Formats: sequence, C-alpha cells, structure tokens
Amino acid sequence: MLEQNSMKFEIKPNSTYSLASITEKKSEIVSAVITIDTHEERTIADQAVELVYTDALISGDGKHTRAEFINAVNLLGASIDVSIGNSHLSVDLRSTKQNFKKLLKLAETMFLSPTFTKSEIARIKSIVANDLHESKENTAKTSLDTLRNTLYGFNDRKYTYDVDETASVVKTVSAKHLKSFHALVLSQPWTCTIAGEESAIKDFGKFVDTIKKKQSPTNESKSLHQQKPPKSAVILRDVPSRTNIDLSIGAPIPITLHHPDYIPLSFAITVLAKWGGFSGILMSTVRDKEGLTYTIYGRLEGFSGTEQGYWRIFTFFSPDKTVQGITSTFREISKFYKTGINQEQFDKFKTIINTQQALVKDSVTGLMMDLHAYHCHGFTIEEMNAHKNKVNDLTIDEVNNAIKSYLNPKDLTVCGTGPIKTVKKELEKFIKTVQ
Amino acid sequence: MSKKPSPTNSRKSPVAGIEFVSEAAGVEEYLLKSNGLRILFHERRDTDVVTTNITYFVGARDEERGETGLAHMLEHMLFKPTANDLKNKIEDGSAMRFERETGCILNANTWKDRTTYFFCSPTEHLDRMLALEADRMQNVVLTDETLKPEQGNVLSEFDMYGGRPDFTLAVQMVNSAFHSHPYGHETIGFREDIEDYNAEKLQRFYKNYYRPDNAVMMVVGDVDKKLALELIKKHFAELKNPATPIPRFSIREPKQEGMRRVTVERPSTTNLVSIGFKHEGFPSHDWFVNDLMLDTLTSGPESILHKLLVDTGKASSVASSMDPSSHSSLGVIEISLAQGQSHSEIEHLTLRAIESLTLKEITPLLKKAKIRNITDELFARTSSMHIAQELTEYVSAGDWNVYAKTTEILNKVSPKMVLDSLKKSFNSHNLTIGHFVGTK
Repeated sequence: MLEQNSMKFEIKPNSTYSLASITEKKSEIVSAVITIDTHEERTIADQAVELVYTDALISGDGKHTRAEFINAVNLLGASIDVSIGNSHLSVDLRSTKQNFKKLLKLAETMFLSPTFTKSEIARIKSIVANDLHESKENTAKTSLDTLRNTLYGFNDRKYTYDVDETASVVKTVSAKHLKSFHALVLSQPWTCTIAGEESAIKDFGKFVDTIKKKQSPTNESKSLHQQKPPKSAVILRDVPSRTNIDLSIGAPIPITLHHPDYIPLSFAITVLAKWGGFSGILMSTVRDKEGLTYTIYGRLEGFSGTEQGYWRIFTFFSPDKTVQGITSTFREISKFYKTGINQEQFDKFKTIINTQQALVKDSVTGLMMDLHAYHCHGFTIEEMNAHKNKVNDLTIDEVNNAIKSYLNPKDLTVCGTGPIKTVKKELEKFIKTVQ
Repeated sequence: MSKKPSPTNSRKSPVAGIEFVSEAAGVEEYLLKSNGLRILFHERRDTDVVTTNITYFVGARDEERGETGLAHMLEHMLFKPTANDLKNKIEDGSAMRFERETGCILNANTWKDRTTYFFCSPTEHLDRMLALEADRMQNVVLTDETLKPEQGNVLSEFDMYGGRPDFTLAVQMVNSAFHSHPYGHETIGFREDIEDYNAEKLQRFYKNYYRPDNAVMMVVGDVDKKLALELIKKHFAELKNPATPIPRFSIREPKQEGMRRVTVERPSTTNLVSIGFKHEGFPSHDWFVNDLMLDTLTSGPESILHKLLVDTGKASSVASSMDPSSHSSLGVIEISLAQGQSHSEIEHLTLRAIESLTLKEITPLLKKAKIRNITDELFARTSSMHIAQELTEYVSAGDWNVYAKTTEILNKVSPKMVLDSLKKSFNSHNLTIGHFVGTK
C-alpha cells in the first residue's frame, strides 16, 4: 500500500482476480476497469467472435432486453464500455458515486446471464460487417496491422486477419460461439482497477467477488506466441483516396518486459522518437528542421511478462515527400544506431521521463489508467514504483548497449498505406540500399 | 467577441496592480491594470501539477480571403525563437527548449474565435512558463527562412485532414453555408493559401492581435494564488498594447433562402451523407438546447438515428458535432453509409424521421441526455488541463461565467424546447446537405 497526495494506492491479489484501487477521500465520480486476457490460438474464427462479443455482451441479459439495459445505464448517467484489443477484453465502468452501486448491479446481471439472442446477433453482425468495410480506408491501422503480421505468426495475439476473410467468417458466428467465449471470459483471471471513495471500492470488490466465486478457475493458459525474425522489406498497400501515405516502420525485439535490457531500450526509443511532444530526435529533425511531416513518433509495443514485443516508428508523408521523408528517417536511425546517445541527451531524457511520470498526477483517471497498465502486467505497487525508479539508476552505457543490440536499421520493415503508386519503385529501390 | 470584464472590487486582490473582477465555481477572474490582460485562476491542491493557458481572441474569423489559415500558421510560428532567444543563442526557441529540457507538456490549438497555447508541468516551473508566454506574446522573429519548414509541416497537417472524406466534405459544406461570414472556411485554411504565406503576412497578423488587451492568461493547478498573480505581474505588466485598435470584421451573414447542397466525388469506398444546420453561438441557452437535441438524435445506441440507421444495417455510423463558436456556426450530422445504400434515400429517411419526432419520443431521451451531460461535466473537471481547456471555450466565445452554470442550464432544457429547436434547425432555409460519393 502507498499513500500519496491524500490518496491511497493498493493492490489485493486473489486466486481468480486481482483488485487494485486508488482511494480518494472526497470524490464525486468513480471509474473502474476490468481487463481479461482471452488469448488462446487466435484463429480467424476467434477474431470474428471477438468482434461480435463486445456488443453482444451489452445486448440483453436474464433481466433486461438490450433496450431495457441501455435505458437503465443511461438513466444513471453512467456508462459501461466493452472493447477488445490484442485479445484483452476491457470493460470500463464509470458513474457518479451515488449511482455506482446501481451500475454494478446492472454489470452483474450482464456478466452472469447474457442472453445472446438470435435477433441481437444478426443485428451486431450487420454492424460489424459495415465497420470492417469502413476500416479498409483506415490507412494508419492498415499499416500497423501489416507490420504486426510481418512480425508475428497467425496464432499470435498481434496478428490480424484479412478484412474480407474476417467479414465472411463473422457471418458464421452463433450464440454457441459467444457462450463459449463468455465462459472463457468468466474463467480467466480478472485484473480489476478502480478509483473512487472507499465505499465504491468496497462495492466493486464485492461485485467482482460475486461473479468470480461462481466460476471454476481456469486451466493453465494455452496462449500461443509466435514472434518471427526481423525482415528488411517494404510492404505497400494502395488506397488512392487518401492524400498522405501512413507508415509503420518496425522490427521485432526478442525480449520480454522483465528482461534487464527493457528499461534501457525503452529509454533509447524515447530519445529517438518520444511519443507525444517535440523532444524526440525524429521530431526535431524530420519535422522541425526539414518540414517533412506533421508527426513522427516511436515506441516499444506489445511487450508483456511472457511475450516479446517490437519497436515501431509511426509517421506519414505526402507522396511527393515520402522518399525524402523515409530517407531522412533512416538517416537519423542509422546515426543513432552508430553513435548512440551522448551524456547531455541522457541527462535531459532522465528529467523528461521523470516529468512524464509526475504529470500523471494531474488527473485521477490518468493515475488509474497508469496503475491499471502495471497491474495488468502483474506488478505490485512496490514493483511498479521500483520499475518507474529504475530509470534513475540507468547508466548511459546500458542505453547505448541496448541501441547496439536491438535497433539496427537493417532489421526494419517499412509498411505504407495510401496513394503509393508514384513512390512504390523508388521506395523499393531505397530499402535495397539499407539492406 | 469576448465580453470585457468590469471590476467589482467587492473582493481585494492579494497583489497590487491586479484587480479582482469576479468568482464562480472556484474560478477567479482578475485584471492586470497596466495593460488590460485578463487572468483566470483556479486552485487544485495535492497534484504538484499546474497548467498555464493563454488564449488570444484571434482565429479563423479574423482572416481575409487569400489568407485563410493564417491564425493557425502563426500558432505554429510561436514555437520559433524570439529576439531574446536569438540574443541568448537559443536556436530552437525557448518554448521548445523548455519542453526538451523538462519534459513538460506544451502545445497549442487554433479555432474559429481563438488561438490557445498551454503548458502543463510540475508546479516548480510556473515562473519559467509565464516568462515564456510573456516573451513570445510580442517578440517572436518571423522570417521567410523560419517559416519555410513550418509551412511544410502545416501542409502535412492539411493533407492529414484532407485525406479524410468527412473533412473534405465539411470544407465544402461550410463554404456553401456561409457566403460572407468568415466561418465559411475551415480553421486550417485552404491549401493554396497556405502555400502562399510569407513572413510579411504573419508579422501583420501578429502585430494586430497578439497584445495583452486581447488575451486571457489562465493558471489552473496546485499553486498558491498570490504567487501565481505575482508571477503574472512580474512577466506581463510591462508589455504594451499597440496604439491601433484590434481589427475586427463586422459581417452579417446574408439570409439563406432554401436548402443548399454540395457533392464531393473521389475514388473511395466511403460514402457519406452530412446534414448541416446553422446553430446559435456558444454559450447561449439555445446552444445547449441544440446540443441536447443532437444528443437525442445521434448519441449512443438509444438515439433516434442510431436505431434508425445503424441498428438496421443502413449505415455503419452516425455522429454529430457542433462548434463552441461565438457566432452562429454549422452543426453537422454525419452518416457513413453501408455498402449499396443510396445517398438520397438515407437523406430522405433521416430528414423524415427528424420531422416526425414528437414530444413523447423526445422526453425520455432528453432526460437521459441531460443526466449524461451533467455526469460528463463532472468527469471533465478532474484535471487542470481539461479545466483550462473547457474554460478556454467559454472565455473565447464570450462569457466564462456560464462555466459555473452548465448544470443549471442543462436541467432547465425542456422537451418542448428541443422540439422547437428541431423545427427551427432542420428547416430547409437553415440546411446545407453534403454528399460524399466514393467512386471506387
């Protein structure tokens, strides 16, 4: 437990769930989030079920039709949002403190007796089909999916199946599939985090306990993880309606979150391409000095205690500036790889990272999401604080060694989506010069 | 134009030379007497974080034809070096240097009536943040050389929006809805105008609008009031206003006679129907009625149009937006069509559904929209950045005191008001309809 600025931070593990809380003495609002890892094999059928399930879960239960359920939530001025990403299901609950208990009652029946009726499934399938069709012109997402598909195998949680193939499999999703997925949701361990007054935290604890004690604990996880070796390549997809080419440039990193190189590597990526703001090397050069793009950021993604992640640069260029932009980006990455960082950069970015951590305190919602992210990775409060403090014990040599070990530009795959016809040949020619 | 404060002196200011003006919802307004700079202060304890936010009353509405987007371009240039920076050899400019040294959050944004710059940082940096804002109010060195790379970035930003069907359609719709009023162009401007900017145009705009009597300095966060006011006085009190008045257009939009239409065709798989209506300025009572009206139509799975179009598979999404602008602007309902749907049928279906709405249908939806909006307000007011951001819209549209009355205003909105608002808004003499036709 930790007391900080009149708030109390706590994580209480349990055999089937873990509950983290931020207790505020006076708060009008309550926010809570539950995350459940549902990843097993991730077949295309699994992906299709995930897409239907998020809406199906809030579309009727033993006590309410969908309309009655939504009406009841809205009458409280509250919200229950269900989403899924990387096979992690998240349920977000928020309301005023006065209405939180009533909201939990609704969430309880939602989890314990979802009905998955035929008519609701038919409605959701048509919505999912429309969403999938619309996603074809989401060029940033397409580039990211293409990159991740290059770095991971079919059964990895980071793999995304083709839109048209998925759309055809969505048509076959039935109540049986949804019930089976729901059973998995209930049996897997839950990671729950809440911020609010003490009474709200107690109510939330009881709510989770009520649901989880009715379930048999899950068998050992069958989760499959399939990272591939790096591959220097350019993969382009043509979406002529867009005016920019969205790019995801990245490479696999064969370590997990707990590896000693993770913190130095994370530090290095922040120096190169800090996500947000203007202080990363790429923002200072490719954007500020050369005026080639509005945004160029990078970070480590997809790491966990057991799974290996990747590093990714995200940017976009207009077609006439794409070759120049990519050339500048690779020039900076190569320079970074060859020379590493200097003492001045090292000192500055230590301050920058500490400030980022301090600014989370501006909002309790921010604090809760920060705590939840660590909580999902299995950290205790003490481990979370130790992990954050590790940045202060880093040495410049550790950072430069990590750069040399993992950030070779020759390993990078460039995935671009947009009006690519005029630049395709030149980009393919360029990547050969990097190889 | 923002309402000028009139000091009441009913409460004393803790700092000489700064006058107390008013207080509402824990926000206090002060006036720096030497030059008319307005100050808003709100204390939030126990965070060790402070947000400063300076808002200038200049935006897209102050731009002339051929110079659209100039306010936004100037916003980008305020991160370039000032004369003091050049003297001190700070080549990347003090603002950028500050971010690169401390990791604070800094950014800016421009809208129809305003341009806003903010920092969010540990409280220890407040002095430096205020010094930076004061310096760049009048001392940024604007040259063609510094403009060029930033112009490239703004063109990249334009292309980021320009590739989106909804943005492309919105540009055409506001242009058709407003024939004379400068709200007829998007804040980022036209690409052709951006390409033609030069330092002289920026210098003129900078001189005209960046002055203490055309700004509000906000400090929200974990800081002592007296200290905050003393620091504002220290950095801003010596700044002078130009002798010339602040240029303002006085334009009344000609009467609209009949429905206006625009069509954009582009090779795309996206198809959109947008229904635009002119709404009242913010933060008037009618603006909030319009806002709740849009909620009943498009917000969430219970809304009229979601049930009519999304649940039936006719559209993949229904969304709406309304500007918190001081004058009447264009609100939009945007419908993304499912494959094979006809633009004209969806438009007809939507307008018919809106026309046939009754008090009986509106009443339960309005009740929930009000509760939801009031709860949203509670959530929005839990961080210094969000509080400053919300205050910005109120102060730049005319009256920040309404910020303290939002719940009261929302509670007073009746179903009859919403029904009347629907009739007024979705009248053919108030509508601009847009179709984005994907030709792929």
